[in-house]
Amino acid sequence: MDADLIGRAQHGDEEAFASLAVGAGDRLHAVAHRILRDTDLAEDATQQALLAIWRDLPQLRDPARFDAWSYRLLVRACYAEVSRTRRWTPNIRLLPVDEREVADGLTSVVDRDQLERGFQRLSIDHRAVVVLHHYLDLPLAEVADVLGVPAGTVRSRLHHAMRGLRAALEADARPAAQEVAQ
Amino acid sequence: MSTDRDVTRIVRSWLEEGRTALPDRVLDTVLDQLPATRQRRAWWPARRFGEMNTAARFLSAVAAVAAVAIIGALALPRAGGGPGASPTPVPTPSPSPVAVPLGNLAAGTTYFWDDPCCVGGKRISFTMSATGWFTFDPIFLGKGTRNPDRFDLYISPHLVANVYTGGCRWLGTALDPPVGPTVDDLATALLAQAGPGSSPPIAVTVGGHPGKKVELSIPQDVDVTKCDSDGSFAIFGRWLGAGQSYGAAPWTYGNGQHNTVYIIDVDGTRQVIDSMYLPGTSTADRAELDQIVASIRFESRPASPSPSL
Repeated sequence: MDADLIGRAQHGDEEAFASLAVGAGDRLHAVAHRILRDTDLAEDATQQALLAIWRDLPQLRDPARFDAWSYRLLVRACYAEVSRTRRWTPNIRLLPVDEREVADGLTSVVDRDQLERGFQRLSIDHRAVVVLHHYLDLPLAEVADVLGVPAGTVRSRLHHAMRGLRAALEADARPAAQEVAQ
Repeated sequence: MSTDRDVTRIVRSWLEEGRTALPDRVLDTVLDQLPATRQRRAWWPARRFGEMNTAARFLSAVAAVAAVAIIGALALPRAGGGPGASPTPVPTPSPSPVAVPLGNLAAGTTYFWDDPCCVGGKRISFTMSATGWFTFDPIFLGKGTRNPDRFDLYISPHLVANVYTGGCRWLGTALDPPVGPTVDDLATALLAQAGPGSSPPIAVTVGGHPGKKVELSIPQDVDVTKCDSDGSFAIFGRWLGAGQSYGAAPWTYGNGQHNTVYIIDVDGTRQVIDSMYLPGTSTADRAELDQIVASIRFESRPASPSPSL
């Protein structure tokens, strides 16, 4: 991220912030979308996160930490969206089918459905760890920093989440195996 | 059955799928709201004394000399100047507190802190009893007694949201769940951080309000320059400020730094006053810190004038 742009935005330059937001918006939205699994919620969370970034930007001391810092604000916005939505709707909606685009063919349609269900069963705490570590490739220590929790907690959440996703994938495999056995 | 590596590969591949682009209308909404969204100012000093350029140092030194001259000139008539007169004029508090300015502070003047970053329900006033104190940020008063390029002692107000347990390695060690809201919650958490053998919190009264005092020292064998960084400076992290999304406090100035943390219950709001001195600071200089703390008062904010209709 451009340190000059960040510096100008820290001093209230809206034009500089607009350039920053254009650059960061897609990246933040991608993360929000993967955590929340809902288009509307992801857009709302990204919007709130960008406003929080503008508001708190003077407090960021090192422009080099802008990305990690912005993820922290985004994850907070995701929590807020889920908490707000829970008051009105019983469940978060699944992603529409037409938004799935196979990236490299590794995941089959069945895998994707199973993963989607397994992921929906995870709490936002667990989803955030999975997305930050496996989508953004952040080391666990940095995930802990972004989320503001101890590294041990991150490790435990990741373990729990991956165990849940593995169980979701294997749940699909079990009936097929039984059919063969019969 | 899938191996863990298979599951990781499948999950990573699945996460790569899906949309990433933020619709323009969302971005437009954000940009429309910027003029009405006030930015929050950082609480920390924008830079350390050591980073000032030569011209700034010169101007600062000139300002310091001017301040001393003015204070001296004002103090002389009160001192009387005759035989037997007290060589150290006792500062007379100014009639009404003034906001802490950037730059040098004048002995005998009563100032107040009232920045929402670090001051709770009531503003904090205090009277400076000595010269040589200055600020880069109004909520952060310091004094360099041996080296003008750095503070040897300072005092600053804080509102604390959480406590780190890692000290020098504070990243990722914030308490989960966060520290509770009371004076005792924070005193206990800080004491636990201080480690075995540390002195227990002492009951104190500051400005007529009850609280606890906790003494914290960075072990002499810890090289603070190698502590986790907040992105700009290495910090021996003890707490996270209220409203802060990242970083650690208090400000770290050197190996063996000693902080006296006053945790005060101001009518239900937990207010922290942090004072610091480095090893080797004289007793007289440390006494100046104590004098500032002793002069602290918590005051209701003056009523704002009614808007004219």
